[in-house]
Amino acid sequence: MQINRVLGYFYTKVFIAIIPGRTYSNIAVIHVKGSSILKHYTRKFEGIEFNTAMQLFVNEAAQFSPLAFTALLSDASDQGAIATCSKQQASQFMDVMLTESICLEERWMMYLSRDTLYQLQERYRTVGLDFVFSPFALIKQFYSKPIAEELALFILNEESSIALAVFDHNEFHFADYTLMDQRFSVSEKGVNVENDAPLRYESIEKMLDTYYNDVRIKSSFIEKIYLADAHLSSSSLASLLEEGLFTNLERNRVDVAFETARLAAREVGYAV
Amino acid sequence: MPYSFIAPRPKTLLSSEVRLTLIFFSVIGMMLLLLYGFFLYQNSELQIEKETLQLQHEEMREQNEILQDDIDFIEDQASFTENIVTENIILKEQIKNFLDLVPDEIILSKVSLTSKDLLLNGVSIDQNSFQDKLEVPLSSMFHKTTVKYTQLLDERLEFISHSIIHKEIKP
Repeated sequence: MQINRVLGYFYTKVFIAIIPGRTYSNIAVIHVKGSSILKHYTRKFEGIEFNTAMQLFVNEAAQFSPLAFTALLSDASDQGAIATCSKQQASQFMDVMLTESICLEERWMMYLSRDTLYQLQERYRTVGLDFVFSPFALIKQFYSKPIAEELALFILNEESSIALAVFDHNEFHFADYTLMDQRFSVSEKGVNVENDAPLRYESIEKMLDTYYNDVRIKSSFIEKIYLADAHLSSSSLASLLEEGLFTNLERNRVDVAFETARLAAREVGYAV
Repeated sequence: MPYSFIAPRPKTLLSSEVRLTLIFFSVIGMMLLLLYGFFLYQNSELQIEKETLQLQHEEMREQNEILQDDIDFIEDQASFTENIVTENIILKEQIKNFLDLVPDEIILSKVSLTSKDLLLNGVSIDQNSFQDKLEVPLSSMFHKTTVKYTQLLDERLEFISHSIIHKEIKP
């Protein structure tokens, strides 16, 4: 296999990230050589199922190099993160026998239902998956610097879901994940997507209630929120959070598909 | 730090045909390298042998030179010896010829011949006999001859003749 490693240096690596959504999916492709991104493009696909068009797009992108890796950002409801790596302590929050977990820094773990993981792999069998990431991994990568330096709430606000995590100077406290429902309003002009910012705010508030009130969780008062925003209609969410939670908020636009592809590249060892 | 719930699938950079071709050429390359190594080894062995032979050749050449010198010396010696033998033969012949000149009236008791002179001791019946029959030929052969006579009781003469050859001064 040494020959593969040597030959690998001469190839451009392709990282494809699939981000499934409620009404559409994003697929990002990055071409990496050494530690630089040579090319980057994202395409939006209508529909919630992994359809033929997406499959063709992924296969076409993968044909560029024999070193093509496909990553998926998990949108499963039965995933999360807890502040322990001990299976015994983890059993308070989930069924460890039915869960796939990753221990990080020997202090906290991300988990995903094993059945869901198999289902995801089966759903994308036609293209094959190399990585399945949790949204918390994306938060950790995107906000690695403030996570190490502050006590803050970090939110990844996606079209289909909200993932949030609390870190205090790199120490993990709490994480939660919730899927969002799409609401439509019918008028003379047609079908419009309703502004779901209040709904999202409520969800975040509910998750924070758990953080502050669950006796199993170590909590501190949050004064700072980092909002990684991938949802178009969420500028009002930022105002709601600032006003409702009396916090400082820093909002950052994030291309989740691109960041997931970067995460995949880092996973293979490329500092992009 | 691993963040993925699954490990990436192994990637194949080379198709089975390319892999087979690569293995084939690798084996051929390896064989050629081995052959090249073998030739290099043989070459080095031959080089060592050549150097040894050159050394031996040099030693033999030196011995040959010594032998040639010995042969030259021996040849010189042989030539020198041959000259001496020839000269001795000539000298012997000359002595014989000279002694044949000595008449019966003269009895030589001592003859001493060197490269420079001839000393004769003897007895003659009279001075005339010596002067006529021996001194004349001596004068022809030597540059200078001096004779001293002593009268014996029986009326014979004892003589001591000393003949000298002047060395020729070569130009």
